[in-house]
Amino acid sequence: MDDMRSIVQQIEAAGTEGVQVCPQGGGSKAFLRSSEDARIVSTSAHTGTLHYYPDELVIRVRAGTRLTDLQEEVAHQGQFLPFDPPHLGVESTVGGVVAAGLGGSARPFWGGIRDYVLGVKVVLPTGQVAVFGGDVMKNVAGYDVSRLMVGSMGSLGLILELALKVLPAPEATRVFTLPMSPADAIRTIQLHRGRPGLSAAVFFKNVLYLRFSGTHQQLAQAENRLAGAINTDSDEVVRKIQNLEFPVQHHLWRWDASQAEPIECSELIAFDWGGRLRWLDSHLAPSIATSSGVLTCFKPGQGELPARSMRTDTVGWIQERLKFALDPQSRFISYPSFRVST
Amino acid sequence: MIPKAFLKRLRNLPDIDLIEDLSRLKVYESDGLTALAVVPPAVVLPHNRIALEAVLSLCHEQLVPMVIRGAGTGLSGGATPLANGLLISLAKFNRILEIDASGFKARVEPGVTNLAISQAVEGLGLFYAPDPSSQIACSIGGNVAENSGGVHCLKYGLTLHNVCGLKVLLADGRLLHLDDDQLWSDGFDLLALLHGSEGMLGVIVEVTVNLLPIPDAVTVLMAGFDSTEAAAHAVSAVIAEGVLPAGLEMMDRLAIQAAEDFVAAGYPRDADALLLCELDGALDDIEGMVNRVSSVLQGSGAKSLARADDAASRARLWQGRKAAFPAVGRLAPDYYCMDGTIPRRHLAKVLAAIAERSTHYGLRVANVFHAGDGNLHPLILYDVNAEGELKRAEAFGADILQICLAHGGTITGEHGVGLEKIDQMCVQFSEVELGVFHAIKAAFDPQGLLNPGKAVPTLNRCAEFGAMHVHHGQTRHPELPRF
Repeated sequence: MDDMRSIVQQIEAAGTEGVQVCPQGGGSKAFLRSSEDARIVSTSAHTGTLHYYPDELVIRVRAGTRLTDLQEEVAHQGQFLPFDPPHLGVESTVGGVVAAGLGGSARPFWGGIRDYVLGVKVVLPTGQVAVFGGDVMKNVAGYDVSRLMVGSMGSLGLILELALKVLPAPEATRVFTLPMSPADAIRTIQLHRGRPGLSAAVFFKNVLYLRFSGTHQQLAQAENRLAGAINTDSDEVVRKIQNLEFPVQHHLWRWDASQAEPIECSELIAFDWGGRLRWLDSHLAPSIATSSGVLTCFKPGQGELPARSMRTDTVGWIQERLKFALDPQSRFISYPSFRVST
Repeated sequence: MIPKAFLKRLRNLPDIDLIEDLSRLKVYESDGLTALAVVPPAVVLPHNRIALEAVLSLCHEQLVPMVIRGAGTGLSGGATPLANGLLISLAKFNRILEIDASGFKARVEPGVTNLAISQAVEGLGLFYAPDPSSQIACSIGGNVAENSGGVHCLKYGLTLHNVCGLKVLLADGRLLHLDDDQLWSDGFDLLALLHGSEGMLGVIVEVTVNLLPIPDAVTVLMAGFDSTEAAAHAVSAVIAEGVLPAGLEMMDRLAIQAAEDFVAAGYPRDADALLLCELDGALDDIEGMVNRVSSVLQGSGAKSLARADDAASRARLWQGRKAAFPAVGRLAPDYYCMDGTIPRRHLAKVLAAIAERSTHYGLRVANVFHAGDGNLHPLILYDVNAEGELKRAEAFGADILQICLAHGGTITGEHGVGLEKIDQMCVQFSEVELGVFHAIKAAFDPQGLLNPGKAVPTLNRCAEFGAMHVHHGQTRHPELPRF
């Protein structure tokens, strides 16, 4: 269903009234926003596939299309979305997924959302509609605004449409279960890096799960190398960790660390991305060395939230200038920084 | 012209080479778009980052415009000098700083050539995937600035997909460090935004690239077809089969004939279209892939099918494709290369429309095509000394870009906008969209000192038409394979 007219009208009306706009899809990631007093403009009625050419590996959908519907549609053609984002609720929409920019477990192996976005149609903070990128793989006309929208958290405009690159789905999947300590897990992952078909390396409760997705031959090779390990053709356990379906006592913290950063940390409950994305459960800001990487309070639990800090380096300065350049009157919400240290 | 007082201060900066005499300045008068030549008033080659920062700060203070140049192989005039600006060459930034084999990364300076990276890590069983045809000469900094492609983009992606970190100096000399290990961006994805920004937003001073394991096995299949339509259909059928070739290239009859006359690659002279399909993967997998793709090609009406497994015979098949441009260049005194991308389903219609325009203008056209990703390179043949032919070639080129846009494509797939296509930007983008580009530029470079006049047209310039033409093959370094 085409709901563009209503969306644009809502944005224009908010502009006239001087109320800030907060774009939203299904609202499954609403916890990522700062609690600003902004008017929600929802894309959830702006749905449907505009075109899908499996043999060109391109699909264009309206932003309110549910992620599950999109994944089902491409699966029918033997294809998939390689960025395979976390599902944080059934109501999750494609526009919301792209605006939040969260990568799934395959992120280090197959790339992130930004690697598969080819084009966008957006409503700018002025209420004007603009189109960037296109439906083609190679396109270097103008700055890459399509990819700038990925992870911009609705602060630069409202995404109306997306053209995405899809790929042929792997022939098969196999998940290997390897009980071990976090430090051993990191060493084991290093042994398998670069091996054909590795598509996830996640850790939860002293178990490392390695997922291989690819041709039957690739999986057979993986089985030879990991002889003796329990394995299954269901990747449900990997998905549960990717989708954060585990109990958290306090606030859920996200630590984006470099590979070299020691993994030992008492608050660690899980890691993904081969150790680069670490999930911590803590009431206070976890006591970790943040000499590299970024610590963010990802999902608040009960109790007081720790103070946030904006990044103060040149990158932070440019981010603010970009936001001001594209939305000088702050008609849209600001980028919600959850960073607690740099 | 550049203020004399500025030059005087520039001369006093340490650790730079400064070129001011005309004969040496002439070397820098153009990039690969040789039709546009401007002798720069001065060229500076900083020896290190501190010297470069000092040059930028001085330009910023004195409001002197700057053009940054890598290897100068760009095809759209992105590095064409300014008559009133300083040309800054990064040629001395040519060191590989760090190779992290276990982390599959290399940190390099921007002047390192594309091929040098793969050569440096070959012994470790690794390679850097994007391979623009000019890879023996083009620099990685330029690759980032243009978001360069190549023949292996379909499977391995563009430069953007293979770079994980950048250090960039802003116009005022300040350093922007975008993570070397970035999987997620806290804030806007500036790493993506810098790719393809054509030297307008910042000066790339360090690049961290991702490396991949060299595939165990590679096979090239060559198939001849009776029509470009049948070949285009075969491309779709290969992808529908669920195989992702490393490269998938198409040539039309004129390009096949020219290449065969030039390098005798063994192409079928009687074919109207030729497909080159490179498959790579594990030893166990390759034979199955080759069989599947071979039967798809035959099922799609291939009239001839050949395969090459060893490096020498593969290179021979590729040689015809890589030499297609100089080969076509032998058919006429001049050619004009276009670079549009179209959704592949429209290929037959687009080629028919191009053929119709060819008749209309009375100029021959040869087509080579990155078929897997829809990137079309029509080559318009003309003679600059024949009355009116240049004008007709330029009009023909403009028509081709319009045809690409009319079929949902874009005016540039991989060569960039630069000066060459700045007017077509007005056709592809609305005033609102161009306004967004200008706002982004202003956020990074409020004084507009970096590469002014390139890539994004001002709203009141949307009128003229610029063009690349190669006269008698007199492109810079004609021996280099391109496109």
